Amino acid sequence: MALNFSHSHVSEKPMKITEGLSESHDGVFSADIVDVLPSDPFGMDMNNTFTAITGWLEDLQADYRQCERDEIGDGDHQLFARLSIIWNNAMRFQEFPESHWSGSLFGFEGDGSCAGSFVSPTSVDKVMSRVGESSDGGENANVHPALGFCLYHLGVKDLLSVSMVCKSLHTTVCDDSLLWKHIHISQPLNEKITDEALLRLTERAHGTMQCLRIVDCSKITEDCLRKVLERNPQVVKLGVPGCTRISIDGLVRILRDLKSAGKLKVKHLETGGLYGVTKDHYDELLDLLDIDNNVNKTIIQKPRYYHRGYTFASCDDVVRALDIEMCRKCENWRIVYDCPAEDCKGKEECRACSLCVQRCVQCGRCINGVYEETFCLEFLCSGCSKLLKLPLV
Amino acid sequence: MSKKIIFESSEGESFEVDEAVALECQTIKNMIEDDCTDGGIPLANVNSATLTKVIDYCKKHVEAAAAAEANAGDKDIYGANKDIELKTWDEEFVKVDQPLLFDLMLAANFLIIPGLLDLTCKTMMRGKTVLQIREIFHIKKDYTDAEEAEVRKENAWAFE
Repeated sequence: MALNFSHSHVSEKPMKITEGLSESHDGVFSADIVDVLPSDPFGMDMNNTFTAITGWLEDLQADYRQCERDEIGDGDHQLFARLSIIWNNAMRFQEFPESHWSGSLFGFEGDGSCAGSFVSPTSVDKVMSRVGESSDGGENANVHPALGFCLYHLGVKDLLSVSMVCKSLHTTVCDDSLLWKHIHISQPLNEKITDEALLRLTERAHGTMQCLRIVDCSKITEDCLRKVLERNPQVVKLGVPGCTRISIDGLVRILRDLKSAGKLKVKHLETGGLYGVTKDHYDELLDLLDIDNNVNKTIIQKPRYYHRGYTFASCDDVVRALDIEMCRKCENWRIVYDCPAEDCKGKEECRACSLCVQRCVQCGRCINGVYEETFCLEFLCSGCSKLLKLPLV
Repeated sequence: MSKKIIFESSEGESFEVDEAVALECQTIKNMIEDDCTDGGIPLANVNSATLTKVIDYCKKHVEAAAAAEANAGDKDIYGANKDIELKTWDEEFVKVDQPLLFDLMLAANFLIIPGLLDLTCKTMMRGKTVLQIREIFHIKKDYTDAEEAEVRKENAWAFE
């Protein structure tokens, strides 16, 4: 019965799209190839198409769950998986409820007390007692109490390691939404994280995520970002510096759509100086983020110095509402840097984007006269190159 | 002459520190604000060895903050070096044996010293493998092989 049900769905409307796409990939769907392809190579506004498909998939979601309840065997899953790329995608989106299910399986097995548990940082003891009373009859009873609050100081990668230690820790890491309130992906996970992985991690926040910062994540697409933000309407700080698949157009579109759906709480946006920001983009962003342009200017902001990599180490440092502004020299909307050099301090003419004023990669001061070019074609001022060379002599 | 605060360790030993140093601990800060620090603050769950370290940490960070303040108008080029110096100091500071590190963690948690708590937690856990974590906290693996494979698969993207 379940099989017929799904067939009827496939044959109804989506068949056309299915065929088109699967043909172009010769029927073989590989996540790697898709990752390598540009999101919209011919400017066909694929995003909208995908949004449409995604919407359709969401409609299917309910039906699929129904199927799941009807206990389709593994063989049937395989059948679906082979149907088409669309089905493959559908399966991927469907993994979330499944992964939750498997997570709770580990937690609940032989440990009934965990059902529906929610651990707050104040109830560290609870985490500990849970780790203690593992299913094999309290073998891990003497776990150090420090582990409980350690978890709240760990990055994503360490949390994932912790989740593999034992069943109860797996449950804790997967179910404690507070651990996922701030998701910050940078080195070394930035090159590895995929849309699927990010979606799964953000799901763990159960919609309570407040800060999302993905740095140099070249695999994350605009569609993924849209999904994450739709599912986590509480996000206040958003940072996407160096995410090459996310364009300013896409970003503005996502925020605009969220705003019109009444789901936009983002107050701090870190773009990392996306390419091609126009005045329209900038004005719309100010509007979307509720920034009063005049107020924004009068607030004395901490000076920002040019430095290798991105200025902010953690989301606590993100205090500006928007990291770009108009560079007075080239009149483009970019990240504008202050000059730390004594004789330039506070001078407007040395406040400019990195293209207008060459800056030392070490200290961020403007370079006039003597400088040295590093191996990576970056510049070092004479002071810093001396400092850096001293230990070598 | 700044005001002095007296801590009393679990062994009953007294430690006199400047108020500025004590203010690094949120818990003590609250007590000072509530004006109930006269006659010393008994810390029944912090032993002398740990307390000495905690005070060292607070002192260093108060000094570093003061130095940064004083140099704010100075050359910022060296500001970066100061940061590096403090980081190196922190790294040296947590090169202690595990029981003491645990005690420091608990003390930092109790006294609410965010910097120290963060530092100790990270030292303890950052970059540790699953096996190492099991070893540090004496946790026995309770996964069956199949379950472990499942969890590994779930996180495979991050560890490949």
